[in-house]
Amino acid sequence: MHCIYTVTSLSDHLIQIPLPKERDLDACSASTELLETPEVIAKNRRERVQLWQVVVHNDPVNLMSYVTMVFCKIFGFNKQISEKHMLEVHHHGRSILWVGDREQAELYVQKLHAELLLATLEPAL
Amino acid sequence: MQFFQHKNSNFEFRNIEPWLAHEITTVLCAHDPKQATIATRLLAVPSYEDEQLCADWEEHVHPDLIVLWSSCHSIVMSDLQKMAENLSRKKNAYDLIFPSSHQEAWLRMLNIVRLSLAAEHQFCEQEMNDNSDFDLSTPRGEALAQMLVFSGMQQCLIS
Repeated sequence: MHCIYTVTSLSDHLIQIPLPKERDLDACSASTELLETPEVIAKNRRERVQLWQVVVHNDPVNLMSYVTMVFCKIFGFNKQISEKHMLEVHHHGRSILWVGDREQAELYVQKLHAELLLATLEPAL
Repeated sequence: MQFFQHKNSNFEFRNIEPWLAHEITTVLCAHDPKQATIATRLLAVPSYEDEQLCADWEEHVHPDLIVLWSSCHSIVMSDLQKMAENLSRKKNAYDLIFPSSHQEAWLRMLNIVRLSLAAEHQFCEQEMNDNSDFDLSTPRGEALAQMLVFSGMQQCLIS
């Protein structure tokens, strides 16, 4: 069985799609060639290993105690670690809260947005 | 106004003077996240670079957030409705009591109101930190005072 890989736009799930059998390949050879070029394979490989970071940005409205509480709740940090990140946000304008795969990073950003914090996800360097 | 956390884990803001109870109710009622003007002040982007992600976010995540915040607004409104029905004639004050399960909704709504007021009046950090100098006769001064009240309530619920 041949397989190709594609990546969904929002959550980067890897989805296995079975290719047609040999006798059907002529009919779809153009699209298959497009998907299996070395560049596409390399790009997919890079995306699979790419790590993403969840960044929280400073805003002057949210209370420091509130931000600390939200970090404890969402990331399961203890108070000391949450305060460290909160102070980093306060003094340096941003703090990286988490690094990992994109799907989980998106979930964390969504949870932070639900609590009204300014959060983004970025490719980790 | 005094704050208590009861042994049954209910929260209580006690002895709220009628003018303050009216102010709290009016402001919270006016900040329904379903209103487009309020929502646009609250909805954030997930990336400063990836436009496709932002577009997907707007389509899929923002509606869910508005539903979540609207449910918080409903919870808070029902707690305020109960408060309004229980004016203590003896002390001419209201007691706002709600279960700890409503804490999250209250924290979110207090934050929504503060963020929204800050955006509406374009308060700078210095203005928000200086609690001693605001003119209550102006809408801007009144909004600063409201922010102070709501941040005090948030602080009580967090501690």
